[in-house]
Amino acid sequence: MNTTCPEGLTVRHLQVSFRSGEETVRAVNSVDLWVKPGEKMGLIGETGCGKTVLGMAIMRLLQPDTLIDGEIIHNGVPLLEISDEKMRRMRGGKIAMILQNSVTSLNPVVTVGRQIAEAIELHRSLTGRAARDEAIRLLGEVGIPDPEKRFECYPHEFSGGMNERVMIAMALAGDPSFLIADEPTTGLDTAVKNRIIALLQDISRERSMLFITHDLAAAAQVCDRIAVMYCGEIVECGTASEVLSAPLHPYTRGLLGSLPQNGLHPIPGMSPSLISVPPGCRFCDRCERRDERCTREHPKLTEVHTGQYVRCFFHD
Amino acid sequence: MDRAIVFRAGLAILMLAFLAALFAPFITPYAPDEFSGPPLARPSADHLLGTNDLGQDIFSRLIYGTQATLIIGFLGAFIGVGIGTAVGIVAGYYGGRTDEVISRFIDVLMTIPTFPLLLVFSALLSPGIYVIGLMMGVIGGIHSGRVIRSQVLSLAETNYILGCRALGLSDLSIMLRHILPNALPLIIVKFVFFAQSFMLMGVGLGFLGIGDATVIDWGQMINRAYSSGAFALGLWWWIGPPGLAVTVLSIALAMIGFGLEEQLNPRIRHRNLEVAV
Repeated sequence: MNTTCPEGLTVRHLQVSFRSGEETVRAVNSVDLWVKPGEKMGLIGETGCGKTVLGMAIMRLLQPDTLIDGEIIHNGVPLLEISDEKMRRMRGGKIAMILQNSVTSLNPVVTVGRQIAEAIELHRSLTGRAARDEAIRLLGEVGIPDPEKRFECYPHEFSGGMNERVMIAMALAGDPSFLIADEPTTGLDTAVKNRIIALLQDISRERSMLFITHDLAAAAQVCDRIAVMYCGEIVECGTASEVLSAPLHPYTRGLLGSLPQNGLHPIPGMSPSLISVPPGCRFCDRCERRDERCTREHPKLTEVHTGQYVRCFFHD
Repeated sequence: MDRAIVFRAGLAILMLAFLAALFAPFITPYAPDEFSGPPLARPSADHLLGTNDLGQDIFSRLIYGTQATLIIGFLGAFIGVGIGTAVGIVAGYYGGRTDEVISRFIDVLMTIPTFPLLLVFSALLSPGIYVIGLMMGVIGGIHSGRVIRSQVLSLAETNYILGCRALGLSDLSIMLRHILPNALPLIIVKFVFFAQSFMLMGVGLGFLGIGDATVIDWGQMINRAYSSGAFALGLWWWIGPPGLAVTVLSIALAMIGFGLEEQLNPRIRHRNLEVAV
């Protein structure tokens, strides 16, 4: 998987590990990923597989003592090499992230309007009245009714869905070309979730997006391509329709099989600890098709046919 | 007792003291240093609280004395808690090495006994009230930064501060516009308690006769009455009013702090809620 695109985002051989006492937690392992301009890339996988860490690594928001190795290039800019100050200007301006858990991601003592206006003032040459008007326009754009009045509200006066919309408005404040949406639909009821998905589709029309979720249905609606992550590495990657209709990796098949409409068959077992990963295939303990080679040798991500990659020996 | 009432009562007394200090020339019937009547006169219509041994009007001196007492207390608290807030926020936000250095510095500062050191300085240099206030703040007030630091430490870990960083806000604007407003309730409570303790300290210095001799303060008034035998002679109007004034103002500040604490301590707030339900 050595494709590079000069424009858009390219992640190459990304390794992220955390030190915790004597042990090293390898949260992201040799991840290769690219998102072309305008493309919507889904990143799916279960909780703890490293999806959020990958998103935070792109934003360079991880703790300074985190060990990060590899390359992240956005529109030709090597994000891991530029200075902190340059990276700060990229954040919110060129690349924005919609953080997980919108209710706690807004400052409780600052009005939502002010929080959006602040981001506008920072990234565009608008101040005071103009920034305020732009913030009100954004609130309206993300579907907050009566935005003029809502500008003065505090986050606790909003519902979960409205806070999610405010988070999206804040991410849009700097007019970024690349959006990372981290579980934007988690914790919302189905009706609100569908509206948030429609909003995300709407705002990402002219932007690229990395859509982090464990909701396969949401990913299917929003994304052009999907990468499946398991235990810190990408196990399958391809167009959304291929991955979801004809999955190649046993884990992806397991994920699809565990959906209610497919009979609710959970994958047996648990994913291995990120501190001591097995030497062979990381999924082998839970896999029905494993043979002796799987426990011994680590499979590589290989291109099965154009654009579809899988990390499994049975597709060599 | 309802903390809101306690808070309002304390605030009312404090406002009264501020008004007295501000409008002293208009309220007082005599100039504070004027020999306006016979010495040691009992309270009367002419002299509301009588006169001292020099025939100066005690009521006028009491009102003027509010100025120095409030200036020392509030200037000291303003400087101390102001610097404490700045270093506390920086230490708590950046953490790591910065935090280590600032915290150890505050630890060292805390081992210095403020009042004895202040005594020595005042006796040697006879500074004015502004310098006394400044010294109090620097020696005795900066350690307010310790508590502020621990609160900022947890604020810096919140999701919305991460959100601010994800938006590309600079460290300075995160600290000023997002952390400071969240830490403000704690800072205000600290300010009130330090103002109270510095006010008492200023009066203590005056009582020991080593305050600023060029201004009238309550401590000096008590000192002069005490050393002239006001107690033994039963001249209650001479020694009573400044002593009572210090006590009332100190209690008022304690009441404000007590009332504000409710906003900080969810357990107290919770208890009140239960009563309300």
